[in-house]
Amino acid sequence: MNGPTLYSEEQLDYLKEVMNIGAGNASTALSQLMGRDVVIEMPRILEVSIAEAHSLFGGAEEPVVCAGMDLVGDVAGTLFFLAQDEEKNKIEAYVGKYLNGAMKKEARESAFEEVANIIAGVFLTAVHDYTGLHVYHTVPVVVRDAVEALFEEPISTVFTAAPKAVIAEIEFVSLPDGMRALLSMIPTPAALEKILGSMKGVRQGYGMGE
Amino acid sequence: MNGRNGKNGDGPVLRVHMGEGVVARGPHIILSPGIGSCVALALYDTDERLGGLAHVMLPETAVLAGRGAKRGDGDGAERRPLILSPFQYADTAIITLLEMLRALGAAEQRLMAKLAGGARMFPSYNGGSVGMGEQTAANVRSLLERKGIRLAGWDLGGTHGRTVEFHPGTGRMVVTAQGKEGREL
Repeated sequence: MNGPTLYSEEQLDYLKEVMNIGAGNASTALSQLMGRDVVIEMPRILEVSIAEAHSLFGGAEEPVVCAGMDLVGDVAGTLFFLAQDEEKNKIEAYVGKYLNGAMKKEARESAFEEVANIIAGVFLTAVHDYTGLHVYHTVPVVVRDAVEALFEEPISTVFTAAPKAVIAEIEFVSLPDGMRALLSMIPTPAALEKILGSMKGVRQGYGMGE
Repeated sequence: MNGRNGKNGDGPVLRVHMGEGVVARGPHIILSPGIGSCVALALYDTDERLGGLAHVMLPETAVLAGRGAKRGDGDGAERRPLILSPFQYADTAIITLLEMLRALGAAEQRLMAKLAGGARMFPSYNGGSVGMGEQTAANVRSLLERKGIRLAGWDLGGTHGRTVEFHPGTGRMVVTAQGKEGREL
């Protein structure tokens, strides 16, 4: 990351905390759906300028499977649930197996979309419980394409209102096989302000106010 | 942007990412990978073996303001869009690219254009209204028309990402959609 950051370390830590709490609940849901342990890695908060934005994707042109959702309510933005082809197949196989073959072929094919729907719902409920903000998501739309192409519209939108885009990510890893999937949130600058604005209330609520 | 030597005797490859633009002479190759809703705008003058490519992110700011704050801000307030790069918005991208080309000797009356991108990556977004990518593409087209620059080829819209390879010396553009054969414009 180059150049001055827009947000203080405390603010970015708070965003990390919000992500962590949402992801904790989401990983429990994912674990139950797949019938295996799921751990989360430390949330990543990435703050990039226009010139740095492409570095997020490392020039990767390999397609990924992505369930894209809009955030609506108090917080506007985009929520992506992403996995490589192989990982997506694993998720669908685990979910199918766990449900003991009760799923028909069509249902198995939309399992990724269902998983994304559930994960996003649980994640945002936890974010609501923690921050007091009402955030919902639109129905996921699953596509398969280059990750850079997928992120262009939400990132372009952010840069109309702020010189830096903030992307908050959580990676889920299932055990013991190491299946990986990523939940990525791109709030609009106004939405990010609202999330960060909830910090004071949360801190005071926990007896941690100034 | 970074340069590396191309294969098969082609010139160095210049990569152009979101909000960037570059002008070069043949046999350079300009490569713009992972274009989604953005639009790759190429202008070229074959007599001069000179061309440029801009990776345009959004329509001109006036069009953008007309979209309202539906997806921009959560609070519905109308704000003046930030300008962070000359290639971020359609109008400034065209003006900047034209200036760069003219400075290197291109004649505006000889210039031709090719366009690729402007996809709607998530088909059901925006409740069926016009997507940002479609709007950027339409805006670039109308700005080119107003300037009297002929559009020699385009591959716009759809719901897939694209990688664009542009040969500024000849105006050749190869557009590759995910998992498909490249299409020459």
